[in-house]
Amino acid sequence: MIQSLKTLMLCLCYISFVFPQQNLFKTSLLVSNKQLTQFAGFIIAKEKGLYQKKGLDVEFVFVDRTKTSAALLNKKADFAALLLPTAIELAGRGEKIVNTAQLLQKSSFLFLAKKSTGIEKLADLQGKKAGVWDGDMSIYTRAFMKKTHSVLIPVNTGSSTNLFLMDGVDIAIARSFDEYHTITSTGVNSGELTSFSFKDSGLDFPEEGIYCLEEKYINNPKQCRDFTDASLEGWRYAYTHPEESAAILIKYLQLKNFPVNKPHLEWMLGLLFENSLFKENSSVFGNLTEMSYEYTAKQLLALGFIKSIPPYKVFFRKAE
Amino acid sequence: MKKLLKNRPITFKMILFICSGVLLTFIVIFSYSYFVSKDILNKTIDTNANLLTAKTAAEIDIVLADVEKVPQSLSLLLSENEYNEEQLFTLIRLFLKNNPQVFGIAIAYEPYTFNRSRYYYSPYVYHDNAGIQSSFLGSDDYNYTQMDWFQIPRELNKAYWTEPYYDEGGGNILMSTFSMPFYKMENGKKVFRGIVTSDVSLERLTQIISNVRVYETGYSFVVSRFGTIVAHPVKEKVVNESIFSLAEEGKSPELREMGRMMTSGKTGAAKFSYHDLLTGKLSWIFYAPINRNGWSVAVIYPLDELMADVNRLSAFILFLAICGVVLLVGVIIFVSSSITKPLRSLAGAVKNMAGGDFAIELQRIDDKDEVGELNRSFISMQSAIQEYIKNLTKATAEKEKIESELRIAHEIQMSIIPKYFPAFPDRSEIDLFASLIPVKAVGGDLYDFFFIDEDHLCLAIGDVSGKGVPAALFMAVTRTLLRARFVKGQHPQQIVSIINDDLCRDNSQKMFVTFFLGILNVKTGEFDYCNAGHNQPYLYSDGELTQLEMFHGFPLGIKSNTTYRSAKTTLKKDDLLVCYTDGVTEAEDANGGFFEDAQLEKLLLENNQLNPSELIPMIITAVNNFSVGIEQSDDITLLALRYLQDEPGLETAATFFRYTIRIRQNVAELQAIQNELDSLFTLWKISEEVINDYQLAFEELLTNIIYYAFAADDENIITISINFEDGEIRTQIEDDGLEFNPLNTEDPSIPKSIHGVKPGGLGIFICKKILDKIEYTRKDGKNILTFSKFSS
Repeated sequence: MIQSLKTLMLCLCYISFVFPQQNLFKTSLLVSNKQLTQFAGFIIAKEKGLYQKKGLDVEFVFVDRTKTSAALLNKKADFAALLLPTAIELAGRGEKIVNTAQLLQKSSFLFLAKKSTGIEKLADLQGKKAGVWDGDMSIYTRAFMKKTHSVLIPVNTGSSTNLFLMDGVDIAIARSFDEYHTITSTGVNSGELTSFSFKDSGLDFPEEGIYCLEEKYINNPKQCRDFTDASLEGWRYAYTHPEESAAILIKYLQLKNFPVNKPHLEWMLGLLFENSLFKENSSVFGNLTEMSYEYTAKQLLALGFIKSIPPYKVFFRKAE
Repeated sequence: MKKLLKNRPITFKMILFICSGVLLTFIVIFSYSYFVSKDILNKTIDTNANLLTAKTAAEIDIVLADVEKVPQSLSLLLSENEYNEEQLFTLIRLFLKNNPQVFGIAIAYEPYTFNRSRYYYSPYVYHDNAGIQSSFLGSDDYNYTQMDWFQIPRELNKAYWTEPYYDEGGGNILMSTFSMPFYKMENGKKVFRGIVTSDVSLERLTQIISNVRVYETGYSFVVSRFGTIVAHPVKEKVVNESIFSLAEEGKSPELREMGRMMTSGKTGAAKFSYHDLLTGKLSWIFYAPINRNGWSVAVIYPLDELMADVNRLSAFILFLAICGVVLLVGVIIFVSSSITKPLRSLAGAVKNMAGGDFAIELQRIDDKDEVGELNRSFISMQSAIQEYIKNLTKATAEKEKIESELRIAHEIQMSIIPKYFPAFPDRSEIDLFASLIPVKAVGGDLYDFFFIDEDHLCLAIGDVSGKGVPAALFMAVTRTLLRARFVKGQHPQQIVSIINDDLCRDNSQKMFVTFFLGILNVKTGEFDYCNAGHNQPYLYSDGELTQLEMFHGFPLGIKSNTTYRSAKTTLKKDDLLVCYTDGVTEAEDANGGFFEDAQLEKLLLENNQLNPSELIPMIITAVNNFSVGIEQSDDITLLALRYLQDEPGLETAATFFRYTIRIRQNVAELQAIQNELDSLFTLWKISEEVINDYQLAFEELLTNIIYYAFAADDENIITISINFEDGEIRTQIEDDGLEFNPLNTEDPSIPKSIHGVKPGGLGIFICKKILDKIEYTRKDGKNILTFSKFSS
């Protein structure tokens, strides 16, 4: 009997050794149901098993990107990629969200106009119909209008630039790494466009960062740290293995029925890495500096979007 | 090229040139044919491709037109009527059922328009595998008001074909949607109510373009108004790629430009260097618009397949050309061989002829062509050469004979002038040297010197007009006349005058000779001379160089009965007399300048101390150096005499004497000579007995020579030299007559009868008894009889 028990125990040990039973921690990330390519680093981390290595089983929860913050607050997922000014505005309103990593350090927002419309300078924008993004993305338009004292007639266009291309609006909001290339990939030459960079208008806000609710961060700091580390590692892998990553992304996106092509993906990744400062200083990657935070918060305060600046150390909790 | 061809056979050259010409012609024709064919094919392809793209566009247009009909009809109905939900679905189902080209139909109302409590209201009916399905579109995650198919026609107030997209609203397929706004009149105003859509499955369009067959690998695809691929044989390209992403990936600005042409509704063909990303082949793209919605149909034509027929034709032509050239080469080899074979045979024969075998038999070619003509010419040439060689052999033999004769003449000419020096080794009064260098084998200059008697030395130098054999003959005549006509006791002008008269006689060639004749009394130094037009000799005396007196008359041979004068001077010890011909002073240098008297004078002044035998060679060397590289133009003759007698008139006790005399072949001369010999022997203090014996022998021998040594009674010259030294009277009689040895007679010591003795035989016998030595030699064509008699 004892011998039989010993044999059973040995078998169980062997089975547990050969087939390790991983108890993966289930977590989730809100991703755009339209601009999935912008989540390249997360996809690479998932597809390359980087989350799994950290003991995480990450689920992507698709959501309208303009409603990401609401989904996060409603706990539809544990993590979300939010724009910094959007997050600061939320924090300013008292929402308990935490930035665990800052991905994009520079601004990519711009307004585009066709030169054929005669729009060449800021003053020409007055009273023009503008294809803009609402919800989480709206803060940029609002900040731009206030900062430049421009009066625009906003038309929410979702993620499409086709209304702009069809001359349904005079100008269109775009990000240099995505919509800008989408437009030039319809045959419009860059020389036929006038760009109004937000950065040039004094709105050089850092953009996407990884966010979770404060309670999540307090209750599961390790998982927050592991998720953040694995996500950053995914981005790093995408940077260091561009060809492989492009192939993974194309396969993944096509499987999910997201339109994708290699030139657009390469363009996007190239600028994303540029804006993440990953190329310039890898130590900055993932870090929200107090200076960047203060700069953005003060701008928002000045524009009247927040009444006070949330403390930096409460807002940014580097996952450690 | 020339060098390359130089050593090549004719066959090679013919192949090279003919094949080059043929190939060049072929290349021109082939190129023209190829390009014309290509041009024709291009035009045909253009036509066919334009037709094909237009046909494909039309086929797609038909489908799209069917799809458009639904929203067009429904929008009218919805504008005019109000329907409840059930009616709407019934209506949509009815339309969907009756329009098989349509995948799904939606009626999307403006928020809160159909039902004030519902933001989204959009019944949607579509096909799936289970049949016709119904659903509603619109949710927080599917805000159709921001979808292109709703927003764009609403904003633009016009119908709109969407970009292709993957529909997640219910169909879950790749589709494109035709959207049309519908309105309702309210208070006279057109109020937007919503959008009616009908979807077309992109698979349907792909089926259409899949039916487009373009050769083996060509294909067709459709792009949207913004270049997005709507239909493509490769499913993954649809929606994901656009003509511009393909251009970017292929790094082809031309393809991007073509995309812009397509999206701007143009018809055309892109014939740039484009390697299709699908086939990897160099391709042309033809495109035509679908005007209904701004889409464009493109057809890829792989160039290799497009040009396959032309290339096949070209390859076949090329093959024929190669066969033709090979055949041509064969023909050329055959023809050229038939031409070159006799030529080679001829060349071999000619090579043998070149080796000296002129008698080789040349194969006769009877053809009337150029080769036959050449053959006949060679045969004629061979005959001509053989004849020429025969003549040449004869001429060469004659020339050699003439040259031989000239050589002999030269030797004879040189032999008739004294050329052995010292000329008078036993005469201490004078030192004499002379040299004659003829310009040709034989020359016209002459010099001579001889003792007339013990005290008188005759010197002569002359220059005959002209050169060569005639001049040499004239010189010989002159010299012979000098010796023949020289009469002891006469003055030089008398002798010159005699010689002149002789030369003028029968001088049909009008030749003449400048002549200088002098007679030196070696004892006294008195020098009588006559200059008949000759260069004035130089006299170096007491440190001064002067020329002897001017001419004393014309050159000899010009005018007979001319009276010549003479002059006289007296030489002192060590005086130097130099006679020369104009070959010295008129020697030319490379610039045509003459040696001139001045140079000769300078040489004489600078070298007056030299012996004549040193001086003359030195002058000749100077002349040769002056004329270096220039052929000698005239005979060069020099004669120099240094007078060495201390005191004129003193007689020396004779221990050595010499007497030379030249006589004609005439017994009349004998007595005079014997008289002179008597005087000489008395002077030499020889006993009478010896004198009688000698005279007896001398008479006998000379008489024999005069009578028997010559063929005819010509006045030939006999030279007699008598030396007296150490008591021996040694006599040499020299003549150039027939070979005659007077000693070769039978010894008559025991004659049987006086009649049995040959002529002279007894005399010779006596001579042998009287004389102490006697001997005969034949040398250089001369009889030389030498005999001696001792005085004691």
